[in-house]
Amino acid sequence: MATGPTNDDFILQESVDIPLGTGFPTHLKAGTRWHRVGQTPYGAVYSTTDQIVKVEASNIYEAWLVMADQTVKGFYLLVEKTFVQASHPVPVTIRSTNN
Amino acid sequence: MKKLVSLLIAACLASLFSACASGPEYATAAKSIPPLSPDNARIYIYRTTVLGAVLKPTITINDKEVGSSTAQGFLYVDEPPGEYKISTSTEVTRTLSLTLDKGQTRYVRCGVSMGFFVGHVYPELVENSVGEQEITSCKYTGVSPGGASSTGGN
Repeated sequence: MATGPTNDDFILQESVDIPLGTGFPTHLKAGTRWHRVGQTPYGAVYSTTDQIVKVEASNIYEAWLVMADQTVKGFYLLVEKTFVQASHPVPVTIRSTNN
Repeated sequence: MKKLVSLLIAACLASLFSACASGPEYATAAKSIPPLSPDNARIYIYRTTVLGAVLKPTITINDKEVGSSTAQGFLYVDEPPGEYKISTSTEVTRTLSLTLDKGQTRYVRCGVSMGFFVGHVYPELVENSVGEQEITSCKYTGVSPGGASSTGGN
């Protein structure tokens, strides 16, 4: 896992709701800063300290964001160590923190 | 008839308030809560709503009982950094999965939702800015402010 800023770190430009098919979409806030912490077969994994990221179904899970090609693919559950796919990929507007 | 209705309402209100937390207010209890050990993390668990006040489910952290979720009550637990599952059970069990880092403080709010026979109490991770504000309206329901409830880190 990377610990320092990487070329992939970014700021989310607009807020977005990621549908998960549970009736509880995960809300990502505009202006949050995301730091790459790993990689999955579904995309790169990003964490943030600017908001709590959670996946909500019958239970609630703390999560990290999984993205590829500026599109949210789903979430990585920290405790369960598993990937949860979004109902459909959601393109997001981001700005690199290196610019 | 009016008198009977009034009595029933009074009885319901008495029942409701007797089901709420009765410990010291947060502002008072907070003075007795020891500082967090740098090697541990702290979880505040609280419940602001009086909805479903008669429900007082046990709270478990990684299957260890740490107290109960009481309307308008709060408690705290100190634990080493790691991965945790916080659960409450009524007719169903609701679980929150979260991680704790060294020196971190996190806030878990217990919400209440409708159930089939009884309401469901569910733990939810909230932003610290939200938790710090909301917990001030709660009363301490741990064993004794100052440590007895902070089972994990002691």
